[in-house]
Amino acid sequence: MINMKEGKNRINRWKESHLPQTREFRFILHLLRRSPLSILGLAIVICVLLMAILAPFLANHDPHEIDLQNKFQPPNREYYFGTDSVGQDIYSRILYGSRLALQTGITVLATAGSIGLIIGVIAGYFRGKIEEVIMRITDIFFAIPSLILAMAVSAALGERSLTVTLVALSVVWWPFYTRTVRGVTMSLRENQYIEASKCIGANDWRIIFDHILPNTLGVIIVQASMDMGNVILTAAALSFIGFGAGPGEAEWGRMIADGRFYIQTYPWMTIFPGLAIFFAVLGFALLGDGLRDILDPRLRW
Amino acid sequence: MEMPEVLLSCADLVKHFPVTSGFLSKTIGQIHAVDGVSFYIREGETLGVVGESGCGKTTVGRTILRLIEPTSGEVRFEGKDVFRLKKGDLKRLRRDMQMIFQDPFSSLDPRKTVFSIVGEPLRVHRLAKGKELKGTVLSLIERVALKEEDLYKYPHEFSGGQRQRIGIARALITNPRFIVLDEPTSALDVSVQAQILNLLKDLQRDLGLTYLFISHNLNVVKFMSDRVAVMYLGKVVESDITEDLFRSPLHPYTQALLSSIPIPDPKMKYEQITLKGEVPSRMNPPPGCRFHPRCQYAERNCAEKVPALKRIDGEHFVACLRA
Amino acid sequence: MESLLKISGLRTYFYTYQGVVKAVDGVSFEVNKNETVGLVGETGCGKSVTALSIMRLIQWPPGKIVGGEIIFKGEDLALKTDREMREIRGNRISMIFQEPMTSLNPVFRVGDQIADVIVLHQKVKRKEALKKAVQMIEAVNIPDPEKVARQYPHELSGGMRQRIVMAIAIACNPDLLIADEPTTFLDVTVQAQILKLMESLRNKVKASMILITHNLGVVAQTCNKVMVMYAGNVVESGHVGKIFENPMHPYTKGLMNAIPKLNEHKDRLEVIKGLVPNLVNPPSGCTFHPRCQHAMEICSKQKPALTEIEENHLAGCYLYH
Repeated sequence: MINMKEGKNRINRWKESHLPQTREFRFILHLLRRSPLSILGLAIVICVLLMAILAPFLANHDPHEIDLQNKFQPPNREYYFGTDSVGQDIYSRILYGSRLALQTGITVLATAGSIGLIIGVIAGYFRGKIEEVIMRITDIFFAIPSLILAMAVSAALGERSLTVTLVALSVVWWPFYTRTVRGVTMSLRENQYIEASKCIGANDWRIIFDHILPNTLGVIIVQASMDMGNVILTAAALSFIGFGAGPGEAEWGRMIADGRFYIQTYPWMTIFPGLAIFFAVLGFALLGDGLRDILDPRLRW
Repeated sequence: MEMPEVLLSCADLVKHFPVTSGFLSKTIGQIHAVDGVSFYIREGETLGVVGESGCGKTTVGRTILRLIEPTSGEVRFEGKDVFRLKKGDLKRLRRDMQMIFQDPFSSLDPRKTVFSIVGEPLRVHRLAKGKELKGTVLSLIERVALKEEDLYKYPHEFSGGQRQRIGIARALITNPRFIVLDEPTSALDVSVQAQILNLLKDLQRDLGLTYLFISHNLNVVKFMSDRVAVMYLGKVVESDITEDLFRSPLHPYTQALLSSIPIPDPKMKYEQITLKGEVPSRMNPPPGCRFHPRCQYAERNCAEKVPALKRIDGEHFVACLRA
Repeated sequence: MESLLKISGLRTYFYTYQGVVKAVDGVSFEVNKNETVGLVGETGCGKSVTALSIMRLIQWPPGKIVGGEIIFKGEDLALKTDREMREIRGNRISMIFQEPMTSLNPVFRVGDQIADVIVLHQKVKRKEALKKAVQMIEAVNIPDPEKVARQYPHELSGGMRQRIVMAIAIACNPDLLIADEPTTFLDVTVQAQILKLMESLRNKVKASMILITHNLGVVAQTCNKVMVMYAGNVVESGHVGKIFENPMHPYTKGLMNAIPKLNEHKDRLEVIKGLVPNLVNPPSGCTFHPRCQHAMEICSKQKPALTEIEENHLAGCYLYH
């Protein structure tokens, strides 16, 4: 039995809470409220998340079910977004496509972020020769345009599948995180509390784990939310070119590729996946922008 | 009366920082931050080190603790040669020699609680765990006049003065014998400074601490120190018992420095000795006595011979050819 | 004594997430021609905000002047438009800020930066302005002014940079100079030089000066009149000799006793207990009462007005009413 009074008390205590985490969280909400675009971004992202989680419940057709009799159907009551060249329901495919999009984004960013974090912290903290070597290597990666690099990696790995896309995009993205983390580490290093820890007798690795890493996570999260849109877009581009998802897979970029010969005749095959990509990228970009504004200037304790 | 033992001695300490330039970081010169500094500190006393920006006092503090590796020289703490210690011994030494930093805002990790910050030295040296750790941290917090509920707060919830107290608690938790205080109150308001200085004096008395007090604020140094060393451009130019130094300084730089302090009494207009010129570059210090280009008493000798720091009487040392 | 600047009941509030910060809450004082007024107080007392309010440099959001008058040569600055203020800033009222490192634009030569002000307000050609700029550099006792005029800020030392900032400030012969902690970041020997220079420049240009500082020594040596501020209010004001000889307000006394002095030997410093109050929720009545050893009942009820206790010496404290 839920004790209503107890529950109310707890909420009141949470509101009055002096716990810095709670107050910080509420402050962030307050700042978010002041920026309607960020809220829009957050709303879109939540929509995409819900699409992905609830896909099995929201879809009314099997996304891979081929029904040649119903191919090229325009949007109607049965098929909300119409059907494609083999009768698959575009609406359901978009829903399931959101899963792929998010999976790709999260996996790539987690991988690139982790690699970038480790290498970036080493470069930024130890400086000297090892920093030079690491930064020159990242420079080489930067010199190659992202899409071309991704294509090259995919080609090198032989097969064309989403897994290969994940690897290729991770390879493209890790240098960005290395550079960002190195920058943050370099500035963190100058703080007197780092010197204080050395004075206490802590060795370098302890300082890195205890003091530097926790303070870099914020930056990574901001960068990741801004990059998410870009990763989804690049993955879709790769699929469009033919490097990522195979024909028929319910991946947004692939769907556009499959429909590109029918733009004039059956435009819904490309419009809806295109819109899906557009909104997803927009949502993450707005959210990332908002997060950066929140975490940057006012956090001067 | 028997003098207490010398706890820390420093002989001919030198620290040069290389200046690099260009793509491959070629070394084009050296900054002579500290250029042959010698002094001693007795147990239980406070040696004040004063000087203006660029004189090297901050570098001296850090080099003694081996936070920066010296270029040359010798520092002995309780007889041990600090610069020759191996890693393990050096780590153990850090329990005995600590530092209190200047900036209350950046000397505490903003993401750690007070408990975590003050307890860090105990964890690093594995001196206590669990309940014992908490108990020790708590007792130290209370000694610096903070409360138990402050243990789980974050640095930004405290004022500058309170943060310095946290820093002091952290420095004291391993029971050190010697503390380097690097401008501990320069970033604080006057009234807060008074509280912290009183606290530092009380702690010194209660715990038998030895202080190296670095500051550019002469009033504060006079209040805190038993003896004072004046630095200019990497060298000690004069050192003496505090009272005597302020009453009758011998070195022309010390005289100019003391005369520049504005006296908080409108009836006593101060007669300031104006030094001509500016502080010279530390990459190319003047030959001979480093102060000679700005000294009103300079003779030709001063540009040729480097004056050694020699004893005039008692604890009074001066580095001047005319002394 | 002719009045140059008269501030009455100035209130500047900052509207923040935590609440309304009453940075300046009823400040009144007067600056006469040819005098140096010291504004003394610790962090958060409102002295810098007062200066910025005079210059109308308070940004909205979150700060705003919510009340009071700033009468400068007969006109109320609080009512002026931004355009009108731009005519005044750098021209009739100049300001020198704390950090010489960041007051100058690092990508322009210092001579150009001085000339900018001259061109803006005196409507002369660039060449003419540059010539005048060199004269200004000479006026602030920098040797080899023509060479220095072509240098960038990072090539100069802190003391020299502060002199350049002063040159910019006096370039148009202002009536009032506001200096916000001009020597705090400088070495003590440089500070002495700069203070001497400021005094001589002020005399040459016949300007008045408001000197903001927390250093009582500086105040004693340079100011004619002193204003002691605490938590947004002036608690004591008057002639510098009278204030140092006979400080009346408990805060002023506490401040003077908290500084270790050169000619005394003390074992402990007297301390003002407690902390500077949170300006979102300042204490009721007299803002100093929670920390005051002489606090009476009325102190927490009503804010004491600044009243004249002896000639040229005002204090806001019920001990003297």
